Amino acid sequence: MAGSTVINSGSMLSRAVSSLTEAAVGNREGALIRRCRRGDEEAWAKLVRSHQDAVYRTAYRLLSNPDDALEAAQETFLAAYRSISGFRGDSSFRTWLITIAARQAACLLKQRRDWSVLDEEDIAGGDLANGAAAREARDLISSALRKLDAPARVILILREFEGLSYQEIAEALDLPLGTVESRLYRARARLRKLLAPELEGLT
Amino acid sequence: MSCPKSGQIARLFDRELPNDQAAELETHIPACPACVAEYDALARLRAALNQSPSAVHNLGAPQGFATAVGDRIRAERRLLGATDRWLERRRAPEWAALALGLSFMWLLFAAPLNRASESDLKAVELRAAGGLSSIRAATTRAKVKLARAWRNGISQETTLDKEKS
Repeated sequence: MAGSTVINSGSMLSRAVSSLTEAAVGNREGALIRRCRRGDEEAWAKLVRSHQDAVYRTAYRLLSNPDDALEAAQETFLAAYRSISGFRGDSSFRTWLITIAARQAACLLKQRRDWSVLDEEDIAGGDLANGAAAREARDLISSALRKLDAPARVILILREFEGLSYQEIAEALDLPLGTVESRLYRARARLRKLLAPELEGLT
Repeated sequence: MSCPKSGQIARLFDRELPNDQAAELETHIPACPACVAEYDALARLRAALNQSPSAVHNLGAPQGFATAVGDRIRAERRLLGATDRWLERRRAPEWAALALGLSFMWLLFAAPLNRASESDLKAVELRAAGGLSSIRAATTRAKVKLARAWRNGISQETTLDKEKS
């Protein structure tokens, strides 16, 4: 229990720091967005450069294929450009883009029949831990993720790696809030079962 | 070992609970082994997932991404601009010809479809009003009418043939 108490106090502090940082970044971004709405191409290019990696990474995580990820990421920015006047600022600009990227990726996933997850070789040069044990653990987790059905995996990725809220996931995938929550619950329960020995070893 | 509040743990873990409920649950957790186990299991799973290839953070868009997006936006704008200019250049006779063409197409394709859907609606109405028997009765009436029309047609043809001969 001590662990979870530490997690809670740590998360409160990190929440306070990140909200201050977000406010500063948000002001700068807000000015760029206003310039974009007036048709300023340079401002738009700056916004694309700031978020292109996050958007591409999301698409890659969901689609596990560089070509599809590139297409989805480009379509995300085109869709965002077309609808920038509709950005209300309820969430951060990054979250808004990630939501659009998730929608684009989900559309591509529906057209595909083969589901895969990112593998070691897909991300050669990635910031992964070295060593045989770490590699073995990664293989186990990848294989467990592969056993989830695609809709559940998409929700899990959006929650665990992109940090989207239930509401944001529901809007991105056009699903009821309850469906998001139940699918996430089931995905986690399945993973916990599949990775039970692995999770025992983690402290 | 279970607790009625353990269903709320995932929401707390995902920061989805309102502050007052989160505070209440955080006070409850230390005294509840089931909730402690649930929270720790979620934390362990997150730690495991953070070791997976999907968790990489230094994966970035390929070089030239922003330029490619800019090019696509400019191409789209050019296309939209060209469409706007084309629409602006059209004169009254051209709009009239277009309207005439569209009306003709409507008469050719859409109007028969509308008629077909009206008869479908009639069938649905009949089913709602009196069930299958009404539909059978309507079908029988239609068959009788058709048979009469057919017979009349034949008799007229026969009369004409007789007159010719």
